[in-house]
Amino acid sequence: MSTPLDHVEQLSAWLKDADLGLLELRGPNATLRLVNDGASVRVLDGEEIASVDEPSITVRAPSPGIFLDRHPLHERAIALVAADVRAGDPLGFLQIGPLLLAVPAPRAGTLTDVLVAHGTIVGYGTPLFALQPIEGETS
Amino acid sequence: MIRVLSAAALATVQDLGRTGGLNLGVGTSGAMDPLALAGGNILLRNEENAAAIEIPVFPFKVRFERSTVFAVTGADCAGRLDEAPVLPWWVHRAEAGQVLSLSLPKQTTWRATRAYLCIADGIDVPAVLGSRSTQLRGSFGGHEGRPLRDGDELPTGRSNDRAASGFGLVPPGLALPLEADGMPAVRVLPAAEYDCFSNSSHDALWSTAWKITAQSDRYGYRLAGRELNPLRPLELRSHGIVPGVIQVPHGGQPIIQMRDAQPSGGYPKIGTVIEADLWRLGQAPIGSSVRFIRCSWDEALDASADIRRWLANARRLVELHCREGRGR
Amino acid sequence: MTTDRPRTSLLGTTALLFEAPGETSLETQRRIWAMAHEAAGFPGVREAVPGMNNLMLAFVEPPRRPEEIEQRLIELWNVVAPLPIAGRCIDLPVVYGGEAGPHMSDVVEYTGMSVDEIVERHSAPTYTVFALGSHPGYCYLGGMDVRIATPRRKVPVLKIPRGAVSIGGSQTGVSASDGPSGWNTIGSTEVAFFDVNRSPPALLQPGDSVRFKAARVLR
Repeated sequence: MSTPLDHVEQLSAWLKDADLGLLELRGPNATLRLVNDGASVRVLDGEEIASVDEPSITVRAPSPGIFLDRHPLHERAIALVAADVRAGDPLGFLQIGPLLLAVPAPRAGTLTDVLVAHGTIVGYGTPLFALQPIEGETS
Repeated sequence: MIRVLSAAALATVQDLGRTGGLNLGVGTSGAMDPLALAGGNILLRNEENAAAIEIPVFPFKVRFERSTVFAVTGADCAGRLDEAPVLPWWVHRAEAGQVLSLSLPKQTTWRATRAYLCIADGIDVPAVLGSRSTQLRGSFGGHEGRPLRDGDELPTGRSNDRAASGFGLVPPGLALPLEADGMPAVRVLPAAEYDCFSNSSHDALWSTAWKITAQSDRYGYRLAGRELNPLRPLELRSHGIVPGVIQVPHGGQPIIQMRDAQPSGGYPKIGTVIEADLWRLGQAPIGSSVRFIRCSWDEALDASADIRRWLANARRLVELHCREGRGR
Repeated sequence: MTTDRPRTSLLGTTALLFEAPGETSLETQRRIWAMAHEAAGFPGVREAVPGMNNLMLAFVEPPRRPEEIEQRLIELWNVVAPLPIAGRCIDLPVVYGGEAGPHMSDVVEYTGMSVDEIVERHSAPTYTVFALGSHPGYCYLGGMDVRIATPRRKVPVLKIPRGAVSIGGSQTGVSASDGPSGWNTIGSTEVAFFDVNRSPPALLQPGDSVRFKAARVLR
């Protein structure tokens, strides 16, 4: 019987075609994750998935403002879902008039979700990201 | 202190310019994009006129010999501090020994060509005739009156306890767009010899695109486009001019006088780019085109007020943010 | 381009230009100097800068209504008395021709005169400094003999050295620093026209005068 790993090439092509960032297939015996960072598609091994013992962290807006997933001069989001980030890395930005603030990762981990669309006005404390911390790492 | 490791060409120390020297034949010099220089200084809580390094050609590399708070404004030049990416228009802290590398700007959401390396407390070269700008003709001001070279060491102010890091500004190129038919544009007031040109020349001035040729630099931008024809030959006496004056020499291809232009000239002047839009020209890349928009005196004054308002607003928000202690 | 009435015009929002009427003359220039003195004190004016029978006012802040200051300048022109500046006179030793004057032969060819005649006519007058401009310390001089006038070069020279004594059209001048020029260089002088460490940095000011003294003539 084939496993998802046998179909990586085809799945990668579909991922690129549809311009999707992440494909995750979970099965009873295997999990396949494909991450498309725009330049290439790579496979994440099952071992790379953070332990389910650590609870996911919600990263909230440190202030009201306009949420931006990228620097205004850039064309790509600064942090992509399934990317590994270090403590302090900017996940996105808040714009307050001409001022730009970063929304930093509070801990090292994997970005699992972006909860708000680029350009949305958010309030203080609005959930922006879900971050799966790397076990044993603290900020 | 900052050590220049590699400078491609024409990087100079500039502030907002040298005033009061016209009676000596000394022009203003100063940053081609004064808004980027002032914006960087606002981020660092410097006075607006603190000196910075203007970088028009890349790559450019410096080493920080001491822990330094800095910002790179103007064009986004894919900065790296050692290996880590440097955000544009953002306050960063470098540790002693770290190397900042700047590369050729990518034209993404804002077309720009010059970058400014701004430092907390500014580049501490001596002020000459009231300014730290480099006067290339005559070789004074800035760093030894010349462009920077590999191995140059630039003094920086004592460490600025006021400067926090970890925040930035939205570039004014995005906040204050100006276009004509989808192309970057600048506003122009007609000059003394405007009426000496034909109607078709007027039409060409306002309705066609002007390409910034490779023969363009801090002295002047030579433009390529339709020939501008005076109705009769014009012979003018030498008279004072300012950056932004659009001269039309024999041959009919205009030259926009820029920051290092002679403060006097004798060619016919068809118009002058308004002071509030000179920063836009300063960021127009070689090979790109611009449009001219005719404006009124009042519109020109309003444009200057818009600039002042952007600066004041940026200053207010940065100060508010820093005082509330949110900077890392 | 001469007019029969004074003219004002804008240089963007940065400065205002006033052009005196009539042919270029020292008498008019004396009135321009007087206007500069007075206009320097107008509100909002950072600097009043004489040119060749014209005056530029550089603003600190552009005025809300430029017509008012334009009108004021025209009225000033109508009443102002020529400033009787009698400055100092400086002799400039010049090495003419040869390597010091690489374009002397072009002036010879255009005017039809010999090197000695050109040197004689260039060094005879006392030239008045009308204004400074162009580059630090550079003096616009009045009083050249029109018989040695030679048109500007078709192709400007990328760099003529500091001290180059040149003829451009009916004007003559001395470069105060290395730089490009479309004028015809006929000689060279060692006198320094600008030293940023000196106070004042410029050697000469409007109303001063110079005489060129032929120290040597190279052939």
